[in-house]
Amino acid sequence: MNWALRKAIFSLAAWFLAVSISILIIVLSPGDPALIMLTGFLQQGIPYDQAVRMVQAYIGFSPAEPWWSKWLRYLLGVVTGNLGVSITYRIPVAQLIANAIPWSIFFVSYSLSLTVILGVLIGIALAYYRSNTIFVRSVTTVLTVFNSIPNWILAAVFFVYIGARWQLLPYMGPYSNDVTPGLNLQFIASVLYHYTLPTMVMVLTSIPGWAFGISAMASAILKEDFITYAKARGLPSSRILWTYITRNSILPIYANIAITFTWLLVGTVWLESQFLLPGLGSLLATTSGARDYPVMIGVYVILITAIVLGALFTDLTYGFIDPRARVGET
Amino acid sequence: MSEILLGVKNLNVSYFNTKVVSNIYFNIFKGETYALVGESGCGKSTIASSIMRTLPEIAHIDADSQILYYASPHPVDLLKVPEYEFSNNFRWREIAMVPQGALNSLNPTIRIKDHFMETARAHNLDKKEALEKAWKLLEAVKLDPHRVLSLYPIEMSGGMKQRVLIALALLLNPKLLILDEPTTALDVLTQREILIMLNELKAKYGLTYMLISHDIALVADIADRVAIIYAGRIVEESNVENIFYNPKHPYTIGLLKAVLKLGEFREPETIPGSTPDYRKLPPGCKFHPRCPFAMDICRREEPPFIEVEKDHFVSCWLYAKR
Repeated sequence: MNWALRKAIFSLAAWFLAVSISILIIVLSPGDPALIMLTGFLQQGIPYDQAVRMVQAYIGFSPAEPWWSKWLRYLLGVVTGNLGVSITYRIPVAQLIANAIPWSIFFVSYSLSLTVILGVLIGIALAYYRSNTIFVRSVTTVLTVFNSIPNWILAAVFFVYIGARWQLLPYMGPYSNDVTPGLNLQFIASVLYHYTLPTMVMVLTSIPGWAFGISAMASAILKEDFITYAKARGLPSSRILWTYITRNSILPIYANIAITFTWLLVGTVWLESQFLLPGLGSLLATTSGARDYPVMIGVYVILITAIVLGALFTDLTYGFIDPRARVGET
Repeated sequence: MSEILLGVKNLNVSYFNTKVVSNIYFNIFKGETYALVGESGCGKSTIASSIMRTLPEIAHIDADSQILYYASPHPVDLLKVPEYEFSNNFRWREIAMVPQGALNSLNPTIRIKDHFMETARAHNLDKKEALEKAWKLLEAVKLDPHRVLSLYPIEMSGGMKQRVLIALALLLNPKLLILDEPTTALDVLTQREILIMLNELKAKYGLTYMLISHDIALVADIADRVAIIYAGRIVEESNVENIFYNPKHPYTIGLLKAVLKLGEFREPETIPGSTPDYRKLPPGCKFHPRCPFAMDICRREEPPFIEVEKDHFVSCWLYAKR
């Protein structure tokens, strides 16, 4: 357990460092939103001193304050859950993010779990039935096609055809207007129904990467001595397929899952804006355009937290699936 | 040593259209250790895989090849019995193997106990019975069952893995054990321990060994009879004394010269040339391009298998009566 504790402390340090560095970069970079606002007031003919006071009052932000002081004050705010106030929306950043984050988490975990499960199955099948050239070639061709289409193009195509033109699936918004958000069956069903199209786009475009990776891994595993020996012992092929090939093939990708998850939390900007879905991605996209720094920093802080937690989670649980990575046990 | 346990008759195996094992005949008698010796790639593992029926799909065995197993009152041709029958009655129950590459033959993600249990389940052995048997066998190979059963392969040394594989091979009381390079990749002291143990196990469980090796010293130690294989053919076969003290085939002589005795200080001799390319084997005797005694006839015709003395067979024109 000592090891887990050390890992946790290390993660905390990494989090602190990453948050500090990203705040420093944003604070030190040109284009201070307060300065922009200040210039605006000055152009309206307001005297300088009064304009500065107005800005300070407006966003609780002082351009004269030294950078290290801003940084410390912000860090203190982060630790206490206060991420500042959005310049464009005039509401606390924490509240904005809290509204967006469940949608992002839902969308990413829904589509990523489908992607990983299908990707692993297809990859294993590709390696296992490699002697069936027709099967391998046709599946590989389809995968290669989807692999080369960027997800925002597929999103646009699906939006226009499956959505707008043929009206097969809902293509705008996270749920229909006639349901009340909350933990009721109609709402959940409506959300799942509305997310079908975006999820399809996401799954179709990201399956090939997983499938090819798994297939390459499984092809290597198939040549291992322990596979030949398992056959010699007369183990049934289902046992060889699951416990021998699949289990050993997914080990290297396990570490990828948490990283991809956090990356996707903001990596879905295009899909979210195409299908008018709420989420961290669309929040970041709209606020970046308006130079709403408090929100941007807030989103980054949340992402860094997610990445650090994801890595910590992977580290702590890897031993359960791969005994070779187990520590402190003999 | 008179009862035959396994008889291989006219075994021919090819990969695509390339013949890698050609016209192999040999008998293994009950209770003996029969060794197949040859360089890497000479076809000895292919012979073992033919017996275990683990050849890759691209391999083709000629229809008139036979591998007769003499356990039941009537010999059974292992190449002809249906797969399920082979699995139920022969695989691991009559014939088991200790695979080549001990270090990598166990699934890294499951415990040693699971290896025993899955093997037992595949052969419908009762769980409790299997665990007891595994316990006894691990003791017989001088491991601590209590500890080893809960270990993962990564937590064991090469010697321990080799012992586990030997124990695993004996789980269903087989009569014939195929040992494919059982001591390769082990250090010399561990090799010795494994050899001593193999001899003990053989006596204790009444086993017959088919040993596959390129390690002359190991063969000299534990084999009763030896077949020297070159280019997928048996070139010489006899008891171990004849092979080592009275070798006849130029290839056997060359192999033995390549091994140094303890305290001998000389450059080990090698056989000139390299292992043949199976896609373009020379006509006549396959060894003639590397043979110092090659004659005209060697380049034209394959030599017959000649009994030069009692139970000593050589496939070489030097010994043919002309």
